[in-house]
Amino acid sequence: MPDETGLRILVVDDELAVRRFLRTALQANSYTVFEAHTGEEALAEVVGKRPDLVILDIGLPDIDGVEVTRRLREWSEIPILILSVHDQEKDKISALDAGADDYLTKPFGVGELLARLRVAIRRISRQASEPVFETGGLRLDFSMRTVSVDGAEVSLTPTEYDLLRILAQDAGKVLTHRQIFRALWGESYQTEAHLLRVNISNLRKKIEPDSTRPVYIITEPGVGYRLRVADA
Amino acid sequence: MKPLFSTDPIRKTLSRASRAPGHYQRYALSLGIIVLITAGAVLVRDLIVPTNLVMPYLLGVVSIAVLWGRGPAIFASVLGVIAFDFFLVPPYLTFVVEDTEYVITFLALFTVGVFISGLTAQLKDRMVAAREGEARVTALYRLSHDLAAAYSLPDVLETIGANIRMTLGMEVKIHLLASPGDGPDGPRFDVFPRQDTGNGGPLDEAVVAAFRSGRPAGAGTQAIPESATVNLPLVTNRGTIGVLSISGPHPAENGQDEHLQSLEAFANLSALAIERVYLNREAAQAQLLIAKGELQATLLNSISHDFRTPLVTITGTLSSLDTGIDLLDRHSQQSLVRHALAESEKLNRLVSNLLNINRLESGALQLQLEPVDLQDLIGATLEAMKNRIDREIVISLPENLPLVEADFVLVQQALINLLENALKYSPAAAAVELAAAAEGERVYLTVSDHGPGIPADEIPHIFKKFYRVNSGPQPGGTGMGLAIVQGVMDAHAGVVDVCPGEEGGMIFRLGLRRFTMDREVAGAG
Repeated sequence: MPDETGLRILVVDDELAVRRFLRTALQANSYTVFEAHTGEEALAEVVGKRPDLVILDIGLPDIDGVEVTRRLREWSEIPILILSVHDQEKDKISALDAGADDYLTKPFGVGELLARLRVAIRRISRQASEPVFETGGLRLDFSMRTVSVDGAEVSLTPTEYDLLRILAQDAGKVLTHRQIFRALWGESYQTEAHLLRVNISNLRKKIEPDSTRPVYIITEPGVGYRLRVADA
Repeated sequence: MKPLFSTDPIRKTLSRASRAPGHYQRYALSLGIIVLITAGAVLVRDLIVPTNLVMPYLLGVVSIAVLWGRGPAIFASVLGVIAFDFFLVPPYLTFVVEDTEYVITFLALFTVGVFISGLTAQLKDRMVAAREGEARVTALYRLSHDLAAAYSLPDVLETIGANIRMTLGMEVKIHLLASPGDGPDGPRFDVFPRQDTGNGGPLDEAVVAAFRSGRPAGAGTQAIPESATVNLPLVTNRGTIGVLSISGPHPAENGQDEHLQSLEAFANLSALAIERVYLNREAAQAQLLIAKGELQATLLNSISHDFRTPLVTITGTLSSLDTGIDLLDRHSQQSLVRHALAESEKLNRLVSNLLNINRLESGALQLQLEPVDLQDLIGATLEAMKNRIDREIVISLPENLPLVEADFVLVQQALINLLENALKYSPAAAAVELAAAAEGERVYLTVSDHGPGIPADEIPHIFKKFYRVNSGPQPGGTGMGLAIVQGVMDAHAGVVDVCPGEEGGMIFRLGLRRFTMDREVAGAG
């Protein structure tokens, strides 16, 4: 795991109070913080300051967070953490579909923020695909295509395995319904949204200790799913 | 004189005056009467003094004056004098008069005849006028009587139209100002009765003239007399609110003034009735506004109290950390901060609820329908509430529960609200149960508690906004929770109901539509 301290974070929000709070919280955790309060400024600062991660508010006075994400993704793989408020579900999903890594709904706690930051940063630092993924009692061996829970091997259908693999490859990151669907079945099946629900349900029955209280595959209401990583 | 009112009910009142014989007939009849009187007098002329024979003539002239008016009466007087002289005054059958005294008799007969015919004719005119006045008053009375029974604007307009059609035999179009004031393109009117075709063509300029001047315009008036309609402004205290446009047979020159007067009386009565409708409408609106204002005041009271309570803790915590952070040991600091955090989460939930209820009520909400696995929904709900759940939630779900079609986030909010109530209104030792079952086209989700329950008479009110059950424990709340549940289920065309549980407590049930492939495939095709 790389040293996370001293990482450079660009905070984009038009509210001074939010920027101030984020600066204080992040600096206390040894991050270096830059600020921008408009979308245009954010795009310029990503080029100028070369941050390691962007915390991006959805509602900006000039170009909104969704568009900023889209433009950044044209040339950069920089992790983007979206900040949204309660009634911006659609924008949030658009930003995630456009390539944002994760989202936080305001108001949020610092603990939650730091956990999401760590996950997002770890994702880009994990360059070489590791042959094995492990979280809690769940273990995936990508080369063998095997899955075990608490040491006991679990038999999955090919679709269930692929679903779990997709979630595990971006472990900790929220994947939208559309992103998962596209990865599993391609664009053409988009209308059969229930296939995803059914496969998630079946997968949970096989790997979760209690599928009503899942510990591995976490539902993000109205957005998608994420595979929980042990310390996040 | 041409009668003013020409349709049947009124015509009957006036018929005695107008069923009279024609112009020439009256003279012929007058002649006949004088001939009869003369014939009678000739028979008795040897028995009675000629001066007394004048009396039947006078009687005849008076009768003719009463029956047929001034002209025939004067004609009869002249005839009478001639006949009297020729047949009754010696020497008979000549106009020669022996006794010059008879000249006085002639003069008296003639003068009395003319005088009486003048008087009776005047009397008759007054009678006709009185009858017409009476008819007009009756018609106006009937209109006002009918209008008193009409409450809505369409009723009032219909009554005015029907009354004028019946009493005047004329067609009415009522132009009511559609938007206040006289726009740059002239006044805009709603026309009643509604036009069948298009918007009824261009506005009659006499209508506009009457509206602008506040005086009658069109046929029989000084303004635009060439128009086919008579247009009467509907003038009220608030100004001219429209124009009564009347078309139909119009009276000849000499009756026009009175005709116009009576039309104006109709227009005034109509204006009053329409204004009354407007005033009623405004009063109702004002009342609605007051009720709304009261509701908002209640809301504000309730909300500000609920918002302030968590703020007290948060402010208190922050200020004690600000002023005396060194005085507090680590444990106290942590305890304070944890409480403040919990309170700020509560505040956040309040704001979310308020936003939700506003969006649900304003209809601004667009459902994001997706196939939803209820087990998934329950899992996500328990996860979202994990800090607030103080006991085991007993969950019983059947195998192979069908998917439902729902907005995950909204139904989750509804379930959170139901669970929160169940936890809040039952003792910590009492279990809360969550169950689901498919039944026909719906899948039902039930939340059961074992608290004291809700009195039967309060159950119908609990889904109302800001309603709080009056009896039992008062853990506090905004009364928004169940209103949101109701709003969410309404938006889904789903159902929500509640019944008392067999072992006490309440059972709330949400019914959502089962997800079907057909709909999905149809949508894709």
